[in-house]
Amino acid sequence: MPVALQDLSLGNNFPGLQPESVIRRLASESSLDWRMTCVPRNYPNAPIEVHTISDLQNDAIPYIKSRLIRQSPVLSDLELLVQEERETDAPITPHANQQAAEMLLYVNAILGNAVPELSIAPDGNGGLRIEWFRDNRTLRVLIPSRAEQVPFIYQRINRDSAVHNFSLATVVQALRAVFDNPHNARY
Amino acid sequence: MPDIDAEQFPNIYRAIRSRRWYDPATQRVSSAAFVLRDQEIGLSALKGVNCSPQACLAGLNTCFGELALPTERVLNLGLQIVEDEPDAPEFRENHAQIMGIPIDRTTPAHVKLAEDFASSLAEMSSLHYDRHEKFRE
Repeated sequence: MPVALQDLSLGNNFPGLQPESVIRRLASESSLDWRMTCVPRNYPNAPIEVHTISDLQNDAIPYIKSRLIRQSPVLSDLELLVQEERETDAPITPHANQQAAEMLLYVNAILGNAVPELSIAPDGNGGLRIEWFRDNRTLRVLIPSRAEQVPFIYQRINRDSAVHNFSLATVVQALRAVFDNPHNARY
Repeated sequence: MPDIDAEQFPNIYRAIRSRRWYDPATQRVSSAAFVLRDQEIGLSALKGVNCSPQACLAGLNTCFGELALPTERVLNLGLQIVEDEPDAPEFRENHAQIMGIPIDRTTPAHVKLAEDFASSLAEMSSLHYDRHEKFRE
């Protein structure tokens, strides 16, 4: 994956930073599959964007957010929705946006195209509802607007449904259970 | 609050606040259309519609049209549809609310019930009016 200096958006923000060192680190990562190179080394604990020098010093390889948005249709749709909702009385919050982006990247990195169609919708309160569906099977992740609120995973096959506590790993497991082998889905 | 007469109003209508509530490619209504917002105790609906690109009977700043729901099937879920109290200060003759969806979304049990309702309401809904022709394929 070629890395352009302008994508880093760091040059003028942090006097004294040596951009070349950042590029070298990213270049070393780019020999891997492109999806993985976009994820910070200590993901998911790393900051989604670099805000301070210490973010870099703490071994956080930064996202190249603009490049990711262009490359990933899933993140493009999320960004489009955030734009659509910007002028409403309940715009999507940065927390919800960030948590959704992290989850979508994680699912994409692990499952790639082996997931069904995706729908992203606002919850009307500043949060997001992310839903995969095929025929009568649905997996829905409910991402609230604020960090102190609890996200949930909801799955439904025909009229049978269940709710799970949210984690990135549980989303992947539930996607596999619901869409790969629905008979294994737990209720 | 008085219950709605399902014979007089065989359908009720939900104003479409977000373009994401309906996907023209799949003709699928999103469950997001049936989620309570903070401070809401019921889902707002209209008993009758005669909207135009210029006029929105729901009184929304942004409205993309209406979804139709069969009144009887909504009631069969165990939900209640109530009309506005005539003496209430915010009385609107054409307004109703779908009641019975859990307001508390902090426990798995309440989330499950609320999402079950949202899923069922979405499944029985159909696009009734495309106000700005945004839902054309």
